[in-house]
Amino acid sequence: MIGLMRAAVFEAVTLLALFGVAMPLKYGAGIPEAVSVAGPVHGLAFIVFLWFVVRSWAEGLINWAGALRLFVGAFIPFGGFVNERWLRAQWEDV
Amino acid sequence: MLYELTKAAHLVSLFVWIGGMVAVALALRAPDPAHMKAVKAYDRAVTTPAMILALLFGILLGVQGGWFSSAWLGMKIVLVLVLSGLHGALVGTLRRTIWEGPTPPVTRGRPFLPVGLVLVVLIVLLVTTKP
Repeated sequence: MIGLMRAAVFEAVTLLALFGVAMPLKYGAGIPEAVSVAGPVHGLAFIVFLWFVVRSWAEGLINWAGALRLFVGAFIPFGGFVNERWLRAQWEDV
Repeated sequence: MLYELTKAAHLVSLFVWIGGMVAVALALRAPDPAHMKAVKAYDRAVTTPAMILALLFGILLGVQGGWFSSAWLGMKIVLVLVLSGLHGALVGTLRRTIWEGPTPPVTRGRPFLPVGLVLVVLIVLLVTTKP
């Protein structure tokens, strides 16, 4: 569960870096290299996060609804931070 | 030269990753608590880092080669996502089997090997033919 929480935060940070820093730099300041760096980093973070989601689901730590919630949250800025708090609450309840 | 070195690192990481997945699948088909714990430790120390390195070097290859605009790479990324999910499902099932204990009849892990083989064949076909 700790790995999943860390992966959720890491994915959320890279998504914010992509949307909040790299894309404004590309379209506002004409620096496309920012997206060339932030995009692949976020792609890697996203795959690793999904790996943790599937592993946690297969282990029985989260159910289908929880996995879906985490998956959808990965596409929404700050969604990963909300989900990390939700996972922490689940963890403390156990 | 850098591209070739990255490709070599990608392939080595991939071999280690796939080998580790096969080890987990076989451990689930013939569950023995001591063996499963050893495979779990190996996965944590070697297989999962190899998966992350394979993904990292794959992304670097895509950037260096300018492949990200190619349709075949898009298809390959989808297959790699499924392969990563398969690995996650394998490890999760292994961890669950360890703490629940193997219960006969053991059917866990049975579909993983053929599904993984099909995925690897499709990925290699895409990379070699670049349709």
